[in-house]
Amino acid sequence: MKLRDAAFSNSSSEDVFALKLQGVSKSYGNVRANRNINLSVRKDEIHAIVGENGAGKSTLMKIIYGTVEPDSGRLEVWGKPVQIRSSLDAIRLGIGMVFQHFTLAPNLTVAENVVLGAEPSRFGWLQAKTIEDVVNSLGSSFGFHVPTKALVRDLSVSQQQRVEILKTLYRRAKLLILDEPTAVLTPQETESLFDIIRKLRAEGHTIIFISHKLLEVKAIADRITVLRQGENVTTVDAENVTPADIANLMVGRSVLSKVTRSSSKPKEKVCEIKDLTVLSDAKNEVVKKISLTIHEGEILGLAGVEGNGQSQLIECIFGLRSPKSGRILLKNCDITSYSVSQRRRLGIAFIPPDRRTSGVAEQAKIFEVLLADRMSSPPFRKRMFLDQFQIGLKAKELIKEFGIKTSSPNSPVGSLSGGNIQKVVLAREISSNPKLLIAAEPTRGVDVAAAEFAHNRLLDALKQGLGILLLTSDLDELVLLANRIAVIYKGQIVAIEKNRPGLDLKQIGRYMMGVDRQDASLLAQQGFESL
Amino acid sequence: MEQVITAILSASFIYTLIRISTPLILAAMGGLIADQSGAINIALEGLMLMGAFTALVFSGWSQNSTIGLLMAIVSGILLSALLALFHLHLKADIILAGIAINILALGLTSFLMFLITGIKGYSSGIAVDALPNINIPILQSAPFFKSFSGHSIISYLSLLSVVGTYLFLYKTVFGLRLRSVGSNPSAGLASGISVIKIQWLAILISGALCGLAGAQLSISTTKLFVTGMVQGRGFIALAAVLLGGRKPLRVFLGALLFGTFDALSNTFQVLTNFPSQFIYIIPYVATLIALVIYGQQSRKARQQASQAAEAQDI
Repeated sequence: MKLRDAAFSNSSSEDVFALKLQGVSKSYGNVRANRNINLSVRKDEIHAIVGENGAGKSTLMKIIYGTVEPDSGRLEVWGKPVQIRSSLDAIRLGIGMVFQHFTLAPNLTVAENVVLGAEPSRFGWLQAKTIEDVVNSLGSSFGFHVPTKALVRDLSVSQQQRVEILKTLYRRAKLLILDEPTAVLTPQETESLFDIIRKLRAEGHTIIFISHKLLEVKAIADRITVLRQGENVTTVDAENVTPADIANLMVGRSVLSKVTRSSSKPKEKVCEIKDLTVLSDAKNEVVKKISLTIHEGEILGLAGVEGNGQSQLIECIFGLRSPKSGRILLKNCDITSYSVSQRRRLGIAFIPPDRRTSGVAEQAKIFEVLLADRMSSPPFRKRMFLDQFQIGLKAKELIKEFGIKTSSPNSPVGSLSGGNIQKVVLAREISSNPKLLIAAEPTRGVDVAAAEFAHNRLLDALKQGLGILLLTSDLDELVLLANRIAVIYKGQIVAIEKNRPGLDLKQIGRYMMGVDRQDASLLAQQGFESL
Repeated sequence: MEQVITAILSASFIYTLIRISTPLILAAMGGLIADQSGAINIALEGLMLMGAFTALVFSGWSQNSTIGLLMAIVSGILLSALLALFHLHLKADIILAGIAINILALGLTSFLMFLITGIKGYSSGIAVDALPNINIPILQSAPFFKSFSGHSIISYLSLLSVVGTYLFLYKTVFGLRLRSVGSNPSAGLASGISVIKIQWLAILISGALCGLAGAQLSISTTKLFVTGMVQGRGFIALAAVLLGGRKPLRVFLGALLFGTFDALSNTFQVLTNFPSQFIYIIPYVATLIALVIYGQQSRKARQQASQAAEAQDI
């Protein structure tokens, strides 16, 4: 890295830029998504672009990839001014894009997916042998091992991501744009992705890496460009900044890099789960005899790679799915056979992982969603009718308290931004004064400021003595908030660690991948012991 | 009863089976191609009806069955273009657009038939040049294989269409792109493939095949056109697509299965005293039962698949 920088400084007068944007702007109606953006990506560098949600990252990428045309500004690729009108233009210029949501055809094989759009063929007939060979040799030259004949739908997420990368390499991309590539990966998978990225750089590829995970950006990037509110704030050398600096640049003010976790001793048991076994839709045992205890004033974090039974577990605790066997106790009351509404009345609240589909009804008005769980009981009901006055009063109070940015409580929830929708869900669930709060992915896809707000809210609520079961795929968030971390693997709790300074995240990763597990007796002790 | 069994095992039953299955096979291949591109075509029925009508009218007018056949294909293409226009450009739901095409075909053909003949319901007074049966000398002398000889050109084309569909979908660039679009449209888009273009072609191909299937009904099997003469064959073909799990050979076997029941009902009609109403429903009941079985099997398969997937999940 040092060497490369030196090389650049020597030839600074004729720096080769893979991509150069000058004064690029784009508006959607009144919303100015990009304002006068200048960006220079050097050849052979890993250039990170960071910014909060809505900072204009995705619009910028769409402009570079040709799916959105800018209102004004100049683009240069490999030193030549260009106009990119379609993704086909971008591909011809050697630009490859790996979208956050993969664009693979699940029913096709890996090889078919890689060559799609530029198939080796003779008179319209596919050259099956050539396709196989080309994809195999491409994979091995970058050290990937992807089964070429497997159907994409049978691959894991990280394998699918590699297929996406292979696809761009097959189309001879020299400039690769990776949009939030680590969002779906475990720490180990992220490491091996980084190895691939570094290898690509060594082979003469330029990489644009979009992320809002600052530690990762710091680890992988050579230079970092920060976007805020549609403008580029600055571009810095990764070496010279700390993650906190980047965060401050992103938000435009200093962010609490550490929320203060309550140190109060957890007291009584709020919720006990005993030998819970839960079936998936396909009638598999995806949760196998799990026992967990959540105490008052405690956040129990649940870590695990998606698809290891965690979603079925929380659904079962909230009553959306009935268990095959086992018991759930809330404050020593057996609620195993209770309905969702009974559980809610007893004090369980739930922040679902996907706020748009199960957290809110998008067409409904904000005040309706805010009070959906209690509208049918006093003081919001007057005999047969709803008391609009009381409802309006309470809704306005919650909107103010939780800082939901809206012009009116009567607007549809769907018109709010992702972060504000999440605030609506938070407001409803926390203000119901629960004893147990199940929080699944409480900050997925929201910007730094909104995430910070949510974190502090959860910690505030903790002081009122409730217990929180936190499910998140963001390990940083888990470490930030949880008192204890339980790791779930193939439907079993394989480890429970107290969260302490210097906790080995790699070890948590090993538990998550199933390569290691705690001793059964230690586990039992950790599971039931009060902190 | 003995008579019936002998009849089923006879060469003439196989002959009937091929003749009856022809339109089912062609329509099913058309339905398969459209389905694989992600545009499920429930207008197979109406497209076949249009093909049957056009074949008869042009064959009668020109006294040349080849012209009738070609015009049937053209009419299938034109009507399916309407479906593509509704769905791909005007963004209508493809199921609703398909229903509209089916109703349109029913009304339009009987209206035009009335304009031409002055009689509602059937093609009274139109003398048709029927498609000739093609004899294959080598097969004719063999005892069993002779039932494969003496069919219309469309029957042979229907068998070819199975091989053709397989090669097209799995061995050509266009077929690969078509399957990719059906599997995930954004996969196609990201690779610079025009989804609309692919689906246009897939729908037109299914229209052409249905037109051909219709011609078999009006200028080969019979020599007349009757309102609604397709009698649900389009939907049975669609059932064959599902039953065959969207794989060409299996879809072909599915179409053949339904054809068998259709042929059986013919045999029963001739040889037994069963009330004809009951006999007529055999193919439809068979379709229903087949779909129920298919539904259960695919649910099991889905369960197994998700079990396998869950087992693989790390």
